[in-house]
Amino acid sequence: MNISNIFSWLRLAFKIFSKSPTTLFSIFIIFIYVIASLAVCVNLVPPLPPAKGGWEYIYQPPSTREFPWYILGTDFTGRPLLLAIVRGIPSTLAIAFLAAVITVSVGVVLGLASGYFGGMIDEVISMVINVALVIPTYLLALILVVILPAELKTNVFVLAGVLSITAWASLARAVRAQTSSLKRREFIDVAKTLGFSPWKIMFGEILRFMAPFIAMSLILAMTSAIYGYTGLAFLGLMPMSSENWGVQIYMAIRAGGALYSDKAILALWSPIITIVLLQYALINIAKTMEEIFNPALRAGLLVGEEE
Amino acid sequence: MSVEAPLLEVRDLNVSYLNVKVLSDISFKIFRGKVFALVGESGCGKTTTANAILRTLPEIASVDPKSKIIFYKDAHNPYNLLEVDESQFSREIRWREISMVFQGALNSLNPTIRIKDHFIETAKAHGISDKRWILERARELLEAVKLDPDRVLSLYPVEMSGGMKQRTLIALALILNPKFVILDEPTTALDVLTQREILFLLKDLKNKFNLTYMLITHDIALVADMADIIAIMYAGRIVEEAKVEDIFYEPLHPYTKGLLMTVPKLNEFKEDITSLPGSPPDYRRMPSGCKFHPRCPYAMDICRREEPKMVDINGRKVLCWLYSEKG
Amino acid sequence: MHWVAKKALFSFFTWFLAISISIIVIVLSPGDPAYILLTGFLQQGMTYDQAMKMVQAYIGFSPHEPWWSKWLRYFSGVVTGNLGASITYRVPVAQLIAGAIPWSIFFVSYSLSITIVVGILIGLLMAYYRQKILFMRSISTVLTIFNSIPNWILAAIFFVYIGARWRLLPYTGPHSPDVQPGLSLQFIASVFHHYTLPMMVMFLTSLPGWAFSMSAMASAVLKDDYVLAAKARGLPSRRIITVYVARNSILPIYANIAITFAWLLVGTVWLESQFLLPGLGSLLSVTTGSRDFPVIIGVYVIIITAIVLGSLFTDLTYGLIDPRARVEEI
Repeated sequence: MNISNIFSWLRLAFKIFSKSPTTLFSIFIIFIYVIASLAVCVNLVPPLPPAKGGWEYIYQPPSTREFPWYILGTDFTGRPLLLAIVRGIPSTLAIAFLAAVITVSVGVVLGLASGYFGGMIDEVISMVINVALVIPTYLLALILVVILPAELKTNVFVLAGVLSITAWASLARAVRAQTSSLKRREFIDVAKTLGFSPWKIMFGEILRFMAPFIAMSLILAMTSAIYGYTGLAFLGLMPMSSENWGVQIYMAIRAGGALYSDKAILALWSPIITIVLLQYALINIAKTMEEIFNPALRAGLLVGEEE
Repeated sequence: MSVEAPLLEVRDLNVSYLNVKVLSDISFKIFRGKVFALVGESGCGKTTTANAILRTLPEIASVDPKSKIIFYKDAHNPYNLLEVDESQFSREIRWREISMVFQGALNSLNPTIRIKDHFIETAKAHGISDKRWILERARELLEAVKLDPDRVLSLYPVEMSGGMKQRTLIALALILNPKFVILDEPTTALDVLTQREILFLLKDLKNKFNLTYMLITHDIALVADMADIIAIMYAGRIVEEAKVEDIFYEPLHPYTKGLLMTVPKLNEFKEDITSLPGSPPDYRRMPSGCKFHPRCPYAMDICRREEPKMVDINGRKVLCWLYSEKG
Repeated sequence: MHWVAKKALFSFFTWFLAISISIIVIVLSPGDPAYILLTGFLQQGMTYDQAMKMVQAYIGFSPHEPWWSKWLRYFSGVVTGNLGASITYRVPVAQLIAGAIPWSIFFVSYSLSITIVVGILIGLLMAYYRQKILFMRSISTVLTIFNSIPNWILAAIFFVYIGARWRLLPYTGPHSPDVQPGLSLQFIASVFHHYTLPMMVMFLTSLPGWAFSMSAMASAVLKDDYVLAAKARGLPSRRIITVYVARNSILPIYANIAITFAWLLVGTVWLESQFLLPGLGSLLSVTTGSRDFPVIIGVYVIIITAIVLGSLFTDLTYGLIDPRARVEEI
């Protein structure tokens, strides 16, 4: 893709994004979350105060002190709920992104190698992919999280690895299929005749073709990781950190009596909305990306425009 | 020129897809028992014309109300096909009077049902529920197209070769005894030997069943073999129409001349007719004046400014300034 | 070799590798279950020898064996049907699992069948009415919203509101405590009543995936030549939608059934524990708390086995519904 190509894609993307209110909304959400993460990282956001147990501190109603952090009241540790949720954004995004990167990298590399080289390499890698396909990621992740010692469970890299442990399998299979059909096309023969090394062909030519698909997969892998990270916390398997939204929901129901009282109602709904907004925004953007890069769907959008 | 009534007359057919004009002032007559060929590059509007006749245009298409497609099923009682109500058209005209043979090597058969079901469902859709009768008829036709009916009827499309599928589609097109058959690229995507066979078969069937053909193709050599009248299409317009000998021995329109220059010799590999310099125009950004002028070696000043009108020369027609008074 | 045998052998090999690699990963990780069990027993005041014997009895291997020996021992247990014994319940794991499987299978099948039927219908509608942009967009948005809600969150919300607070539907247990288990109409009705809320959660969260895939497939098929040819031949819309569009769109999606089944099976971990339903999922979730590894690993093995069998079944039967696949087998 050269410069003019990139500009025409961008113009097209802009056209499509601006037509759909939901997409604009999604981009706005992501923007907010990213800003929040940056704010936390550069310490614009105060650190969490020390935890205070005891009924007079936990699940307190909203108040205006130390504005704005107490407007959602306190959580199960007596600390400001809004602050805990906001502080959870960068760690969740980081783990999700890392897990997604691992998933996509492993999936793409295995898929490319298997599809391009064929033969024995393909047989071996296919076997590996098939085995990984029958192991649901969260199932194995669940067991690993149970047996891992506490120190490792707070490590971002370990968590990312566990959450992506077999998630790369379906991506690898798709990439393998696309690669093996692409490699028969003429432009590959051209590249070979020009003396490109297999690596250059795989990562240069073939990967370029699949770039939109890979970008979409990255985003969807992030939603997967967020599901796993918060979901396993909801089962009580993660360290009880205020910053994990799943833990907040878990505690709101167990300790906050959400079943019968409204005391912890904010602590129940705030993390839920935080999670659902993020997932919705990511999924919507992935969908719109698909529309941009899939000519068939795109035609429908643009034809309507030319009225 | 005979004064007999044609079988089908298309008059001032104008079709647009949304607000893009794809067919402009298409007019021609097809006479009984003859083969009328529509020739042109991909995208010139030949299939759109066929779809307009069969009324199978996509949703986004709109036909100009001034267009007429007059069918002379009964020589003294012609009527405009475009004005017939849809359900009546579907029941009585589509497939019963006018049918179409699609490109068989493509996906024109439902992969999930057997061949015999294709025949049965077509008959049922037209009110014939006697399975035995329809299968009898199917058998006759399959034999006429040189296939073994007992074998073919119980096959799935995936189990058949390109040639077999094409023959089946021909049989399927004839199942309700239409007299007018549109052949859309009947030999494209088939190997050369099969092409010859299908060609002979089509000629044979035409004689046997007294059929009238409208042949659509970009293969000008095929046309030389089969057609009586040829209409050359370009950018949604007919640019020349004449008897087959006239087209080949004395082409008038510059585009026709260009097409003929690309006719391969017997021992050459067939290639697509896009070896004319340049390419067909984008329908959304048509050139001014004559739509062919950017590629025309004879382009004059007037060609850039005004669209030519159809000129009649001894019964043949040309859309070109070279042959009209102003040129 | 007959193609069925080939596929079965291949599946068996995949299953073997999946289980083995999982076991090996588990025993090699910095948290060997046998070791954790040992520590647990020691903390309860047993002597070292006693504790070692207990570990051996419950999980089948001891912490100090080399990894391949642990794997071998456990695997031979798997093959003979011996998955160890539960520390919390003191009964063979196989027995616990045998009691739990029917419930999970019921739950997943019940939800999946409704999801598939509705998903296919909605998908077809979405594809056929592509032109009605507003309609499409609103359905699309609603489905995407449900797609964004993790199933455990929806389960929690339904549990708290529809169940505990508003009491609209039963929200705990597989059936009313007043009804005797048995083949009576009363019992069956009570079970379905109690599974309504959990089924709705599974349905709402897995529907979007099905509707969207079906819609995408059907849209592509609608443009296929044989559909256009069918219209040209005068076939009525009813026939085109069913025999032409639906049949050809569903085929590739048939493979999704196995994947969705696996996904739903994993989802039971959250859903069954949320609604206090018996089944593999709740068994797994409950025993993670008590670190009852024989059960945890046993359930894991069973779920993997179910997934492999499901994929094999889909693979073998695909040829029955798609004539194109049959040709390749020959």
